[in-house]
Amino acid sequence: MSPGSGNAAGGGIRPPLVESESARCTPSPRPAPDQSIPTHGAGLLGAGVGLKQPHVDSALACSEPSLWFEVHTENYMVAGGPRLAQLRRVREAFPVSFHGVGASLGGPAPPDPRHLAAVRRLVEEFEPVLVSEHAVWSSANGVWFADLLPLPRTGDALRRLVEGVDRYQEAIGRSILIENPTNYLPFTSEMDEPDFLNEVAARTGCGLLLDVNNVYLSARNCGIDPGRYVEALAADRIGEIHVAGHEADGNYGEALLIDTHAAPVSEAVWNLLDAALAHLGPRPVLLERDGNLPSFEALMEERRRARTALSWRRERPERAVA
Amino acid sequence: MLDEYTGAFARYLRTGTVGALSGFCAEGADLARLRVYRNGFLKACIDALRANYPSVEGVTGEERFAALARPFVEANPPGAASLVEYGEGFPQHIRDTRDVHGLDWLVSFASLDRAWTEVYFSEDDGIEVGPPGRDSGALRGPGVPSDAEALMNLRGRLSSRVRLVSLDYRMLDAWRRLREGEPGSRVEIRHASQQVLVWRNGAEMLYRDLAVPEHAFIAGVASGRTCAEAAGSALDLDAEFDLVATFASLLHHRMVSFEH
Repeated sequence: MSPGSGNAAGGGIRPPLVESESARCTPSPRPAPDQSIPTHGAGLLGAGVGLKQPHVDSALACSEPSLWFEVHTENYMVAGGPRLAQLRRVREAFPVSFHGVGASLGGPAPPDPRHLAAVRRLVEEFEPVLVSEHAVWSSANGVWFADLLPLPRTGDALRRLVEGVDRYQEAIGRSILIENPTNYLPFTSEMDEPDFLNEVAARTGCGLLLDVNNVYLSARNCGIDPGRYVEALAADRIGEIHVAGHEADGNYGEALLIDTHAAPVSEAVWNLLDAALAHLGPRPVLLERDGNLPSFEALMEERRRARTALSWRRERPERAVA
Repeated sequence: MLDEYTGAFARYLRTGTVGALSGFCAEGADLARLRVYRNGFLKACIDALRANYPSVEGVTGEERFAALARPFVEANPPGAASLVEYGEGFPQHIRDTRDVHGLDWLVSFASLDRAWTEVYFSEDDGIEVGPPGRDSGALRGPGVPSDAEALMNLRGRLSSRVRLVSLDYRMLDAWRRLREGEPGSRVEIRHASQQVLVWRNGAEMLYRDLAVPEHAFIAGVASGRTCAEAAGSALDLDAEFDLVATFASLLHHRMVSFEH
């Protein structure tokens, strides 16, 4: 059986962390983005989409209002070539955010200075509207494990993560958002995850990226209450929300949900987004899709669900998460 | 405590043995679920190899590619947090394991895929040339002396946008069909050496088969010999070799720069 073919006993599927190439693109004139939604420290964004190489041409030809794109920072750590040139064209037409997957902020060693230098070069050139990373580790003893690995929520791990975030922010000269992880099984911990993340934010000045799909999966896989989780996060620190698709594990079925980013967003996750927006007020919402890519048009249709949720929340007061 | 945790987790990811990691899991946790992380690590790396070696996967198919790639990943995990160019040693792995997969010519596909990736992501030098003009046969270019004798005594080096690939099999057309996703049809792969030049002109990826003396000349320049020495090697192989046309083409495409 090939790895990642669909079950925990034989292989959970995870989001791909590298992209293959596609055709080149031609930019087209675009209207200015809708900047009517206030957000915490994140510019004024509405509903965005994770940008993958096969969609670049369609993205550049798109005139959807308030559209913005997010890319994985590490996919642009190259010396030159068409991929960087494409991103320059996208950046000319749309707000772009950088979402890092490789800094290993909570790892046993501080983030690699070469990695931070590469991020800094990209941030300086592209001036992304948001920069985010993950509250995880992924590297040890010179090996990068190409995955978002959970941290034990202990005082020791907290100090390491704080140091990693501090170094990252210092390297790029601006604050970042850190994303809550997906949990597949519980590890020994001294504090709840929202408290852990809030403390990192308080000590470093970073913001939080609330991935409601991750919250939903952690709730299903480990038995936490997703509503309480969202309510326990420091609302004023949340600068972006992610939604994504997941899939049931091949062996465990619905008892183990895998964060694949390879399926449409489930209705349960959309409902959790609605509840989070009701509690938090409008925030930039990003639709992630990394595998089983649909057409760009189909992705934009799915994005409309996020736009609707955001539009609705502009007019209504905040409330508790259902 | 964190070092013990990450150390135990890293050993699990590399070997699949839970060992001390179980001590960091909550009481009653289902340890089989840890496989999500190990499989995520392996899958991400194998997917990166798929992206960087598409013609190899085109030849082997998905499952056989995974079987070929997995031991490479286990022995050569990524050392940096970008997988964009991961797998530099994969062609050598394919060569070393040919007794296992039985495809002696597969390394030729891998070598061309690797050259394509390296050229595609190479440093931009701002050079994008148009088609050759009427004076395309002239030995002209920035930094190129007009005095032919002075030119021939210079040592050049290939641009970072250029790779010279030596193959054990003639399979360039088969590789092209796989890269371009042409519908399957039987192609001939002959056990005979083939030399290929891969380069990038702006965003355009280019490649072409080289004649033996052409390769000798370009390889000579790439190895730091003077142009005269490189030309001598080529003319020794074929006295009729059109040195001026080859040299002019290299200069036109700015594939060579010179140390004065």
